Amino acid sequence: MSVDIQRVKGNGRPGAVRAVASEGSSVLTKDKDQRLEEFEAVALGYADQLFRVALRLVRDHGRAEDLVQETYLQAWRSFHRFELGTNLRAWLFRILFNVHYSERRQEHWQVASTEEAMAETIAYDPPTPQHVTEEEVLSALERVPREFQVPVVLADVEELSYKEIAEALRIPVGTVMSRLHRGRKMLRTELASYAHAAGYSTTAE
Amino acid sequence: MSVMDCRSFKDLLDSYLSGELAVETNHGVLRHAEQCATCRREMVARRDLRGLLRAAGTSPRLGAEGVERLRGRLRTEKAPRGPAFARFFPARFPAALTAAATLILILGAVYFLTVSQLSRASAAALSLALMSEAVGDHISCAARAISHEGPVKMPESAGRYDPAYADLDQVAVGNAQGLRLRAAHVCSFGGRRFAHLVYTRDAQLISLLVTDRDGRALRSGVVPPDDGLSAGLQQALRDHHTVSACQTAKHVVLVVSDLPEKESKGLTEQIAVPVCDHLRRVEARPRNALLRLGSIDPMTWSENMATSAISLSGEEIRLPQGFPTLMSLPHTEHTFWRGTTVYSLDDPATSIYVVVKGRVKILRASANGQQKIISIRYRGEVFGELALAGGAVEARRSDEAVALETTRVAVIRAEDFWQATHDNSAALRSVLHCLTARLAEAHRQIESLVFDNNYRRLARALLDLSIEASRVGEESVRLTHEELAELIGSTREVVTSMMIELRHRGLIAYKRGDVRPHLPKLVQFLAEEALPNS
Repeated sequence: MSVDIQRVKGNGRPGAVRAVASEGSSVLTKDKDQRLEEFEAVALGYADQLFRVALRLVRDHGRAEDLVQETYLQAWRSFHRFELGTNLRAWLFRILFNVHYSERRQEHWQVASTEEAMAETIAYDPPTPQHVTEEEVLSALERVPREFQVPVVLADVEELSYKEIAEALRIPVGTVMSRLHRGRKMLRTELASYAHAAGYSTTAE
Repeated sequence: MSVMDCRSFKDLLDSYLSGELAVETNHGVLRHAEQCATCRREMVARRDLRGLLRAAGTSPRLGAEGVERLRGRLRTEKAPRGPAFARFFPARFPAALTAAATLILILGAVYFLTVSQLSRASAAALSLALMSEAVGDHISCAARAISHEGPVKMPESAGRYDPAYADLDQVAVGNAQGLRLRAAHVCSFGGRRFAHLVYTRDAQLISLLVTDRDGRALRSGVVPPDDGLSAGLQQALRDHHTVSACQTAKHVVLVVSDLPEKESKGLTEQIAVPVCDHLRRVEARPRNALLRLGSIDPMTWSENMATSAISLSGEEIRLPQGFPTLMSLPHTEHTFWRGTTVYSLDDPATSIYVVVKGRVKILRASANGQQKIISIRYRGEVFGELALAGGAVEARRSDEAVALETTRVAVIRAEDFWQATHDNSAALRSVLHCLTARLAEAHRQIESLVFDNNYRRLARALLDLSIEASRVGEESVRLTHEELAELIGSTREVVTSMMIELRHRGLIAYKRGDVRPHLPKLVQFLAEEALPNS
């Protein structure tokens, strides 16, 4: 796991440089209102997506809204460094995670606790249960450790590409794929246990 | 390509569903799914799970109020101070700073006055993003789109995006003196969809663009409640082009050209204002997808019906013989948008229906929600005919009829039909004709389901469909892969891979939702029984 953390820290930087690439090509020619308007036009469309992920991180409607507001404020403050045409959504998500984790630094790299869970799930891949409800999916998702849950949510609910997720979480694409793989498998395992408890057969036949 | 095993299939499946695999790998996944029933079920189950997860996960929203609060906080925030700003205005040169600030103010004022005379109705002021997108679309699309011969027609598919787009060409052409309409289509630029009309006047290229009046189109970011007032003409200069715009409650009409502003204004009044009027008429129509439209909306449907009546009487389309007879019976007519239900499961079966214009699919659903298209009915054909079997056989509908495009349907009550057949055997004959044709079709389907593999089933369905389509004067089979899958009882993935194979063999040509079979080759294929992977 420590290797992973190093890779995270090491590889985050080049990405950061990319989003910052060209500074203020048009800063002088536009007044504040216009730039704010431009910012809102391109950025506010992602507010719901950011809010949903924020809600998953902090579990409280009010705090999630604060987190989104803080994200947008920071994004706006450094908007002059953002080059239009590069991936804005990934950039916003990255700021969201930055804000969240700088507020709750102690929680940042708590990956170790999930090692046990992983060992269990790697060997066995249950077939996807057929009859599940939305509530069951949500509560199964809830039980997937945060480290794996967030990539799954970003990929399967918010429909970010793997590359966007890598940029947002500052981890390499390979790590995104392995976390997604494990996360989705954990989700299916959780669901299979529900289905089993409810008496459904989980095998496809 | 080496054959994929079940294990790697399962490993790749999620990435496949996320659309993250290379094309060749996609094909490998599909090929495996085609051959392995267990994996196919797993694919369906995971796709369902993904859909469920997405449905369950996307319900919390920040909401309009939350966005407003966010907007408010951004407004109270100072302008961003960037390194570029600091470099150009170091604090130790206050004189330079003041001069520069004054300059910026003046420039800003000039910019504001000349460039954006927009703010008369600030709530409805259009966003710069929209202006840029309109100009971008004009630059990238207009010159390439113009056609050199013949009258210009908006493709029928335009109505699928927005019913208001369908007749734009007709509205626009009547009002453009001195201008030539050179192209009409739907295109998109920068994530925004436009209905695009291109005119030329001498060597000038002029675009008329119609788009949705959504939050992103407006400077305020919020669509104000519809007060019935238009915001008047707005103009802006953007990238050396003049943009003039007017609005309706739901649409924005933009005219882009490199004419001077004054000329552009006159031009806009000439061509955009009639379009706005047309849009208002269309918007006044209920657009709720679940709503069945009333018999006739005199405002908009009268012209349509007139033209369709003309084309119906034309010789080039061979309608079933009984069609005029059936239409002489007492009936009411209704219009259904694409995807709306004509009748659904368990509706009382009291009427038969005739397709006056458009297409209808007849569906049966299994208990766990899988759908199978039983048949597709084209212009002139009868559907819902089981109502004639009486209460003992079909008191309530056991199937479902859904419009595949904007479809006009005549409804004839079963009682009226029986009444009429007393002294009108032609009506009886026409329905009998339709019924026996249906029976033959059903027998062919049963045969196909029992004896054919997927490829032959698809080929046979395409053959039948294209014969039907050509009967009503259409050149291609307009169905999506999903609909084809429902028709032959397969999955979209498998259909897609089979379509690729058929195209590879030159049996069909297709673009999205538009299949053109090569009939002789298809017939030969069915005769030869040269079956891939069977």
